[in-house]
Amino acid sequence: MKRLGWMVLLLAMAMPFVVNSNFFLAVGAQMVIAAIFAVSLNVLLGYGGMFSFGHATFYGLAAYIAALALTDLHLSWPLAIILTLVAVPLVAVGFALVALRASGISFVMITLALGQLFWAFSMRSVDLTRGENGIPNVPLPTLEIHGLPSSAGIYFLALGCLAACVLTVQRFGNSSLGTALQGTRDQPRRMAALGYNVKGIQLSSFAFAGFWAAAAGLLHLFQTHYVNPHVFVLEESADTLLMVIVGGVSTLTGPIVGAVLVIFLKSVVSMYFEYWPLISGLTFVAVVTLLPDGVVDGARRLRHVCLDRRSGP
Amino acid sequence: MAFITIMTLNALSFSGLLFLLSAGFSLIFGLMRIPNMAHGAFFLLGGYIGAQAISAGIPFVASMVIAGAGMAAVGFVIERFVLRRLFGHELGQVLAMLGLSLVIATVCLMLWGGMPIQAASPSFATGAVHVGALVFPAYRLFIVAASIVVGVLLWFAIDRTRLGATIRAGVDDSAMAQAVGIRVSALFTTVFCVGAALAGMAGTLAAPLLSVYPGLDVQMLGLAMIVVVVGGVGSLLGSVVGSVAIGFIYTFGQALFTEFAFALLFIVMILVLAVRPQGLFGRLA
Repeated sequence: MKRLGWMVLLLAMAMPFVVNSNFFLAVGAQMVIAAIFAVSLNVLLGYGGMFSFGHATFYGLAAYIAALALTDLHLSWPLAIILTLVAVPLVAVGFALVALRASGISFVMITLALGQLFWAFSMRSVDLTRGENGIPNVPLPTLEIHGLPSSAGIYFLALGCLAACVLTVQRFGNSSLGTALQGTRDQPRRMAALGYNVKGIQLSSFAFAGFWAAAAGLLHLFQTHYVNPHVFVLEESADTLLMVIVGGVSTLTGPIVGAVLVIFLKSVVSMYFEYWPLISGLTFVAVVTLLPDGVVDGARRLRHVCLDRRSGP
Repeated sequence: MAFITIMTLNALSFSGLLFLLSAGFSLIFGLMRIPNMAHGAFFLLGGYIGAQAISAGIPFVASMVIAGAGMAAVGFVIERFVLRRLFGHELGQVLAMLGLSLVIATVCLMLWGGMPIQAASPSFATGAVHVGALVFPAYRLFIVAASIVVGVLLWFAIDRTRLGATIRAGVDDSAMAQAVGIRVSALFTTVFCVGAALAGMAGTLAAPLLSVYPGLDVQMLGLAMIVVVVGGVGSLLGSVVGSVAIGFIYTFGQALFTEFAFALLFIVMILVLAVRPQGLFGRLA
């Protein structure tokens, strides 16, 4: 599995030298950014069993904080990035403190309502966020590499971040905090009875997931140099949920496969048909009813079925 | 003084819409244990159907009934063919409803386009009503009256009829209700259809006031969720109190400090969650 991961990474790194199209590299960068975001959501969903419908909040907030720090506060870009990567996990902890007041399925409802409030705030407080127009021309360095298409820079940066993200999430999953989180997912009462601080574990995982969501938001800002309230809309959170569900919850690779599939589908569909949410909505229903454990697991099961049939009597 | 009276009426009429929307949402949540992600989409589609019927010359109240019946039919199909297949798999149900809400909203966008559609208010409730020196828009009074009527009917149905008693039993303990011979699965269908119908009627009622436009679904869904978080799940009284509270805070907040109306909702939600995580009238599961 590990060897396969490195091979995929090497192949992905070779892409800009083979594919000499800026469009495909831009879509590729979108896939990688979406993959980071989906993996961060899966920390909550897969490891923690916390179905957050407001995960786009951290992504959007990171883009906004960095954009405002660069334009209004005139910070240098490394400082703006550090500020964002510190601030967003803190907000994530605050967000979780509110949402975790409710248990079980009510959690879903509160995360959605909180996400909506952030969207409404970005739309309405025109003085701070410029409202619906968003913040254009954010002064970030353009990452151009001589001799390669202009999107190659952001593509490499995103790929590096994804590798770091996967490695840290893997370490997290095997760490005592990660295993404790999986414990609180399966048996919250027993974990509490064993003396684990269930709330503390969940809050720390929110901070961790918030960090990588913020990284994805920053990469989005690096790619577009623009942010508007659209980053907060429910459709964005829904697309990311779809990536995780399509790929399969509670696997490390599932969300990455899901992100690549969803962004690919979205880019192809958008060329011929302007109503992407119709397709994503139908995919939701289809995946949930037909492939409840995602494509990665579905493929694994299909392979088992085929192998069984071949070795059968 | 006149400002406060008019604003109070505005707040009450918005509360009425929120109540019609959140009562169904709360009942569905109470009985079936799922937040219906498509409730805002039901509101939106109901609004479009109602506005279409009104512009076709159908009387207002009949249009409301058509929108309600249409949404009940949609609810029936969804409950029977999607939710039932995922019985006992709550997160799957939530995700499927989220998907269906995207589908419904997009179909609305394809059929009615992106421009807001404002329905004509009914002839019996156009213009203004003069009370002393004060002037009230008649249509807002009509919304308040309509939501009170529906509220009383709902209360009567839930509190005083046999069907209502079985619904309450299902909300309290659905396994036990099933054990004593109540057909809980039929209740699920009934409550889901009634909830969808209420959302559709609320959409029609909102069409002359807010007009119907893409994005209204998620906005209303978010507000309905805040109402239910504040009021508590599965309680009609909770929906009433939550709707009035949120209606007033939202309306006065918008008028007095536009930018922070949503921050105010946020603070109220946090306060309620801090003091009573199950909502003002909710019971701990």
